[in-house]
Amino acid sequence: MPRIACIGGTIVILFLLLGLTGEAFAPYPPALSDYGNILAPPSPGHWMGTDHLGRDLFSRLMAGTRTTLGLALLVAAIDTFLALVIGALCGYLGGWLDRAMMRLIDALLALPGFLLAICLLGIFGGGALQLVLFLALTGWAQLSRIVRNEISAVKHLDFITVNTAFGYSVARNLFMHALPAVIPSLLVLMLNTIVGNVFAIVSLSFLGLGVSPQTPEWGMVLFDARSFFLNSPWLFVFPCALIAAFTLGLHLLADGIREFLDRKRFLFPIEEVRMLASTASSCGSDT
Amino acid sequence: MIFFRLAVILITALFAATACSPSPATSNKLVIGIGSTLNLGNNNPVFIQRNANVWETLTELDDTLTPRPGLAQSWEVSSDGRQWTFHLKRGVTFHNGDRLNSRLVTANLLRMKNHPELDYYSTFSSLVSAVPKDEWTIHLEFSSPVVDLPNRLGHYFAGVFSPRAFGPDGKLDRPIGSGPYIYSQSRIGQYDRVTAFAQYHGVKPHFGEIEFKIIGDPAVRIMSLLRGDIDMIAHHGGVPPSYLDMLKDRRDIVVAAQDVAITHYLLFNCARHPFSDPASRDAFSRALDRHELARLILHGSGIAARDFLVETAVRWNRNRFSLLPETDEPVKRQLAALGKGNALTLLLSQGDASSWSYRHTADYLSDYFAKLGVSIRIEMLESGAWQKATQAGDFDLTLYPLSLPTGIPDLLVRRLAYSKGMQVRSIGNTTHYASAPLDALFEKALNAPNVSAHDQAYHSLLDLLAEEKPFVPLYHERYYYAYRQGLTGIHIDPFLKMDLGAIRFAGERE
Amino acid sequence: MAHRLISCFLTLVLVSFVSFLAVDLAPGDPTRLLLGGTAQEIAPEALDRIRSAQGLDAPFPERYLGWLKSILFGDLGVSLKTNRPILTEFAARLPITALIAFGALVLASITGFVLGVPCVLHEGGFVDHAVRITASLFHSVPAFLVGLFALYLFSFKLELLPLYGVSGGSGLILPVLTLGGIMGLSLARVLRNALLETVHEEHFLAALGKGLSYPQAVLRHGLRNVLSLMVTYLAMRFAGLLGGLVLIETMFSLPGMGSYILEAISSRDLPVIQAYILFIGTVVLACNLSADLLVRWLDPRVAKERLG
Repeated sequence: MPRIACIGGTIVILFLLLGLTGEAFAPYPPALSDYGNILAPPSPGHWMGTDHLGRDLFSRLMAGTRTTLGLALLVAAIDTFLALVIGALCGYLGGWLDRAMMRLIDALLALPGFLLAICLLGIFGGGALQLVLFLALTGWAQLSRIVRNEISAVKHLDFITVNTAFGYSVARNLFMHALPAVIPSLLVLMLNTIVGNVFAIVSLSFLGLGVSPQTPEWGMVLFDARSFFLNSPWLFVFPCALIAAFTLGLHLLADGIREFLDRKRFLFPIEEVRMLASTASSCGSDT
Repeated sequence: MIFFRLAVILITALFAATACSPSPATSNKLVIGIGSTLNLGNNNPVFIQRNANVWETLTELDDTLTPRPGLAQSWEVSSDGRQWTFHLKRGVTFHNGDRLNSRLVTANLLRMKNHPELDYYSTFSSLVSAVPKDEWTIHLEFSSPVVDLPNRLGHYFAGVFSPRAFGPDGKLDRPIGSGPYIYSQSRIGQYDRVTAFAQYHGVKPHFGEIEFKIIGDPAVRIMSLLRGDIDMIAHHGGVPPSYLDMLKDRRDIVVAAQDVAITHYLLFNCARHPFSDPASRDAFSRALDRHELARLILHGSGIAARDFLVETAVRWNRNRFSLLPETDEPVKRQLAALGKGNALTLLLSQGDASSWSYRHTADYLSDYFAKLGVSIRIEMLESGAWQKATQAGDFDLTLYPLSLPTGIPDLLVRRLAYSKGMQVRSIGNTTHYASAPLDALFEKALNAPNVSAHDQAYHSLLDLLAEEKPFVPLYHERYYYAYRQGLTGIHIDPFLKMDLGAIRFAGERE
Repeated sequence: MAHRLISCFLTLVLVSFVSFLAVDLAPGDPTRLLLGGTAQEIAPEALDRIRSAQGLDAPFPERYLGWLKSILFGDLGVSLKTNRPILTEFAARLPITALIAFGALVLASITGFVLGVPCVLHEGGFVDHAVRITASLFHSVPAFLVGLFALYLFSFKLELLPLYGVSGGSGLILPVLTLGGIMGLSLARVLRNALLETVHEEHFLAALGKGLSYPQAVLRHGLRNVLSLMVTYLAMRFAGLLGGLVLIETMFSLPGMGSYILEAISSRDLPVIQAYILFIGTVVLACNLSADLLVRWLDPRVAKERLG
């Protein structure tokens, strides 16, 4: 494995551990307000200072790691699951199912996921459940398209054709041979989906359309900091640094895996162009 | 490479454009930074907000929310409260040259009567006739007493316009009013502009043009004032209290505060356990620490409420609530019982939460009551969903803002306590409170033939509400605005209106 | 090509259905929304009158078809908030969004090529590493945060650029730089990877064999090969760019389509949201279609391959 993948992987694993056990590191409960200590700059007592309610920023960010990462991973998991099921079936079976699904996917791809999420959250209101639902609504489409294309390319490869000739069942062909061939590239895509999700969640919360107000979440911390931007910059700087560190980790990991795969000439040339195009950096994460 | 050529063109264009950077305020132009546009569109009866100083009303509400003469100089009412006579101000010219007279005012009143969707306060639904008695006198007859008519005529959507501005559906094509400034243009999302009206009947406006620049982000508004791009931050949004300290240190900026006629209430769901029990409501509200809430959470943007309505409305003020908690033994027992039940649901409307500091308030309340053993779960719903949930009674507590547009508490009672609110209007009474004595008092106030009976009924009603507590006031809104040192004559009224005509530079003569 | 157009059209119909359905399912009484926040004081009879006058009591298919029909005649409906045609509202805001988006695309293409090519010429050299690191850094936070810090630094501290609004065009510089710069950096990376791929192919080696120097070969043969990929990439990023614009326009107080949709959401101007979803869908589809055409034109191999 390339070195950058190791560095990236370490960062990502650290963050996942933080997400799981972060509250154990937090010196204070994330919702504890100390009204005598409002908007205090960073100090030994409060490493990252306190917010407008006197809550410890470090503790809030630690607790927020779980929310933000949890939601981002959940969305990515739903997307990947749907992509594997729908993409594999469509790619392998083809026919009317394939055509119908591809039409639906076309429609969803024409609607930028982030914008659709803004509109839907605006119409139906925010909350963690809605956030996951609306982000997953469009997220699966792009992944499915890629899985489908890869599967339908694999389908015509010699070894599958030979298998079919030997009388192997469709299911066996699909699960034992076609799908495993797709997984490595899907992994890279998934890492980028997670980055996109983190950005989307943070941005939506920042617009006040995200999770419920009591939930500590990175974007929510930024949203709260918005009216203190000029006089309490630390409320802005630390969450940004945390987002940057995590995203950087994911990028490095994805880059490393891609390099590793490229060297092994794993992907198929046409698909490689597609993959490059869609994943070169976080896909559609200009938010 | 076409890309290169296009890029060169674009970049040149952008840099050329830099040359015409924003024009700084000159002595003849005032630039005011606002959060959102003043232009309400012609679905609204007045087209542009009162703050633009384009139109005027027959009466105006002063700082204590008492009506004083506006376009109407004086008025009389019959002893049954149904016959009103208004004497109009003379020498008032509209922006299109029309003169104020009784025919013009009649046309305005009939516009409201004939298009009830424009009569936001349902003032004229009971109007029987409006007859011009002479050029400057107008006689109104109502089917039922309307003793608060002068208050209603000062309402912030009760503008008087030249009838030539009315379309066939009663909507305005253009707001042709009689104010010191003429509506000139609005650029969507960028600015609203007004220009001075030389024939104004009052003090002649000083600035030839006033531009309301729309700057949505509060931090950018502050930066713009500090940088000198704008002369003043006023109107919707104002100066967020978090930036007060920063501005107060600056010698070139003046920061001022104004109490606004908006009160924020804590509503109980009176149709569901535990707050169907008046004792629970009483204990919960006695435990509130309004003083701490205002001091710690609102950072000066709220004044702890002693009574239902803003302190400046002296007519209604009786200090019915305490600022400090009254947690005696019975209250503690009652709270302990509350704490044994499920967590209470505090519902927030997303729209309200984005305009007011409800999130912080809710956080504080949940924090505060957790220490008293009562757990509160905050739930934020999109405004439409909030409305649905409150109507369905699917909440325990909620926060609610209410303004006092006429200086009379009728809106408060109708929305939050009158049981027939539900039947007469298809919406109303968010607390689900129902009480026959209260309904009787409210109907008595509405049909009171004279002011003293009217006020007496309202006072008994407010006393009853303070006792029964279907809702309690938390704090009154305080609003901050800021302007460049050297400007004088700036005063903002409780409805955020500034008399723009009176603003000038210090030392300059009229 | 006809096939592609038909599928585009079907997709568009699907998008219109999605946008109509989403808004139709919105909580709250649409008539009340039509009248705005002060509707509480209106009598129920008046409410019913307005409801039937606006056709809000018709069944769903009828309303949907009616909406589609009016759109075909160029009528997107009327904004609840301002009572102006939505088309007028869009027209007032579209130029700003279009300028930023277009500017960002142009800037991204330029930076992409200017930074990407040297990375290939000196693979593993200083520029290569520098681009890689900056690209990673700028991609690690959402663009609006980069924009906010840029605003603070260049407009407030250094007072070089306007703080808000268009200001005759100079207000667009920072948004374009932020979005275009970030996109350009990632384009440079894609270009580099794709070019490195090409330089190992036979025709490229043949070009070197003809006596072209390495840089000459890269510029003449390599670039031509990856051009179509670049176009595909930019088209794919375009949708994300539109999303990023919402926050950027808000940060820079620019009255474009992005800040308008937030305004519409906060005032629950549902017809505007409806029209906006449809509009964005159309724009993205049009963008994909034109990218497709451009790719075919740039790289005839693609056209052939897709025919087969």
